Amino acid sequence: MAIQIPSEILDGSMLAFLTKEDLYGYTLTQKFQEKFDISESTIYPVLRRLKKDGYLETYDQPFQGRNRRYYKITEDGSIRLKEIQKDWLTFMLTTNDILEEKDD
Amino acid sequence: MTKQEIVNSYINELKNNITRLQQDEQNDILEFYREFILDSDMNSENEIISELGTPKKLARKILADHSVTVEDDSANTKEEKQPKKENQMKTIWIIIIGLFAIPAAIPVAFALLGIVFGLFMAVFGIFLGFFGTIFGLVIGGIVLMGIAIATLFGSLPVGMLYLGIGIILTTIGLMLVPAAYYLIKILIDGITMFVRWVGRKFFNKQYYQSKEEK
Repeated sequence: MAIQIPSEILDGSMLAFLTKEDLYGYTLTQKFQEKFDISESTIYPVLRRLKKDGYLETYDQPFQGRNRRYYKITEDGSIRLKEIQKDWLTFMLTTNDILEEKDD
Repeated sequence: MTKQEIVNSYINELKNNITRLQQDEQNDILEFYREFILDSDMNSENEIISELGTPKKLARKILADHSVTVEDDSANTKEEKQPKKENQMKTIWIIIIGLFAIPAAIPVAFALLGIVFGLFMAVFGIFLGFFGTIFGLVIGGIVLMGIAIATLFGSLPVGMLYLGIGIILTTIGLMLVPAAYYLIKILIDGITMFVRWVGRKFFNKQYYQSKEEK
């Protein structure tokens, strides 16, 4: 896809994935890469930013003698996701109007 | 080598390249990537490098990301404790190095390097100009005051005139010092803001994106 993904969409997608279930780094990255052509190094900065803003929390769970860090959406995160969904809908509809206007 | 050993050596090299970040932030990053590699099916050093890039390259991206977001969370870098000027130079440098890590941004990185070099030369020129002016005024003023004192005994009015002019020249010279300081500070702040702005454009768009940008 030639269109670059705005960081709001990365944030929104991250929050949307985490709305369904808590996830750890690797599965989150895979979920992203199933949908978008993005590099692995994209994920950490997004998580860091969302956590800093209070939209995510983390907790560790032991797995095969080490820890896995799970990411969990917060209440603020859910509110933020609704905002992004709303903004995206407006943006998408406007863009569709412009792009699909054939001849008039 | 076992997978554990391969991961350790990659993570250690990553660690050595992000030491300018604060300790807890470093740990977070290292843990994230350690966990990521262990959970993945990458089993050799080559596989890890083809997915994540070399530790050095990954470190550059991490540092670049930090340097452009540093305004809103300045607590995350050690630099805050160091003098501001050095901090700004480092920020500029890290952003340019970070841009070189993104293939699509390499021409921009070269251009930016040239622009920043030119701008710093200009600032240096301004500094030299101020230095010469201030130096001339202060020394001239002091010499004139010396002459004035010697003249005072011969002719009081002429001596007083010289003394007055000497004091005025020295004062103007000294008054230019803070003016020069603030002007140069504003110029360097401006250059830093400009580089950050360019960096943010790229790191938020290109760098976050497609796999071949790695």
